[in-house]
Amino acid sequence: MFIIDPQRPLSAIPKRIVILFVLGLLLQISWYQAQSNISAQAEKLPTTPASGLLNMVSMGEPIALAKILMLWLQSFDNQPGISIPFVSLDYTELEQWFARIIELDPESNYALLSASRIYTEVPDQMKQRQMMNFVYEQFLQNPEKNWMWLAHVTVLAKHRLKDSQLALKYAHALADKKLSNEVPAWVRQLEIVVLEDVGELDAVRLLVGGLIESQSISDTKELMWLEQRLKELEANESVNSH
Amino acid sequence: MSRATTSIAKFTAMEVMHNRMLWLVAGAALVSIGIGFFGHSLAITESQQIQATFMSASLRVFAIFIVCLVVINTISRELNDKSLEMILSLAITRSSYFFGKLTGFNIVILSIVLIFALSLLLAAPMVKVFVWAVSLYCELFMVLCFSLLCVMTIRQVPLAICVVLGFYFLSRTINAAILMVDSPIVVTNSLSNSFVSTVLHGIAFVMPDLSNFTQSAWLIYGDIIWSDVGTILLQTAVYSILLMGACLVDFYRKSI
Repeated sequence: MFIIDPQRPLSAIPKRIVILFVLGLLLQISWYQAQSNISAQAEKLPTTPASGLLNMVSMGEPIALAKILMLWLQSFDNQPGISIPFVSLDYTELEQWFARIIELDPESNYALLSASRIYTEVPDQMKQRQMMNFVYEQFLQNPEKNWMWLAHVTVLAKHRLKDSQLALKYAHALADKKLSNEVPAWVRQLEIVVLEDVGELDAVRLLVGGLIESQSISDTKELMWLEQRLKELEANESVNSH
Repeated sequence: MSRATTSIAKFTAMEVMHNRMLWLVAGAALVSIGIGFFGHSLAITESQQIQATFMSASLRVFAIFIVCLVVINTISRELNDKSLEMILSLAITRSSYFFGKLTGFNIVILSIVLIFALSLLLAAPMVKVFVWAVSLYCELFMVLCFSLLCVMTIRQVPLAICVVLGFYFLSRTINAAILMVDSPIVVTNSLSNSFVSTVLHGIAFVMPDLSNFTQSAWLIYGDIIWSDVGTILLQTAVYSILLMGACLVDFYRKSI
């Protein structure tokens, strides 16, 4: 139980002290009101700090820092009072941030999921290609872990960029690398999907279905998000067909 | 353990508990659960991992702060109230007093670790949480010993708190700092570079490497590497002996 110390009545407080307190309170409220009227200004992505510095700042918890940085980066488009489209972000800087996050937490898939599934959705082909290339480079560094993301950008290269050569390059990379038996066989056969005239919706269905079947995705929120993306694609397709 | 030591330990633990420490610990656990759910709600994937990471990182920081503040505040009050003089005027040796206090605070850190580990079970499996809790206990025990050393030597609460937190920060970052200095981007071979490197290596000799302790990675990735746990236990034993020795040397030298 809390012990409540005996207190003197409120009337014991001198009036000037009460006035001072009320004045302070009113000033603070007015100050807050004045501050919130200032219009928000979009900020650029800051330059990435050196890996060593980030390691030091993490105080031996690089994974916690990586997760915090990832959520910060993910919500960078929603700055106080303003919403910036992803397309206006500096993608070279964004790539650097992803690379640092992957260095801090190499086991995580979050950075590559964002790179391949979120930041490739912008209406700017140069930026789309830049992100796809980043995913490709990450795949070359660690094919066993990153095949899933290259498979996704292969489909994107074919259907969004309409660049069959690029899609084939990625599909070849998936087929050429000697991946372990844990990687589903269809990943090595993505070239067929690229070469044959399979529609985007069917290709994505094949990809997502294959990933779920091979249990490469188990996070419920990620599944929900993928389902939502599929529905959006279906809706777009039905609008286009009408 | 002598009767005097047992009594001092019992009353130390009781005093801390009566000062509503458990409320503070429970509050910290609740805040940490909130932080975990906040991270979980923002994530689009790895949400369970983010929850566990956010919780474990915040719980560790809360635990360090609580132990540092509780130990320094309790001993400082005892020094100011002259209770230490009163106890030492009885037939109690200084080492009995010291080990009594250490045991009492040890009970306190055990209860903190227990509450925090129970709350972390919301986000991670039991075996992994158990290893995390053992490591947190080791870390807290070293902070406890260092806080005792600081408050008895310095006797100024704000300064002692700053020194303990500085020690903790340095212990967790010293290896990263050494790596940065030893592998600069521009290789200069300058005198200042080698001087800083020598100083850092010198500091590292007398610091525990806490960067390997209580890692979130144990909760979310792969299997637990039991050899790491063995290293942590050994490091704790070695450094605690050093700190306890330093505390006793200083305590016996003090004219009370």
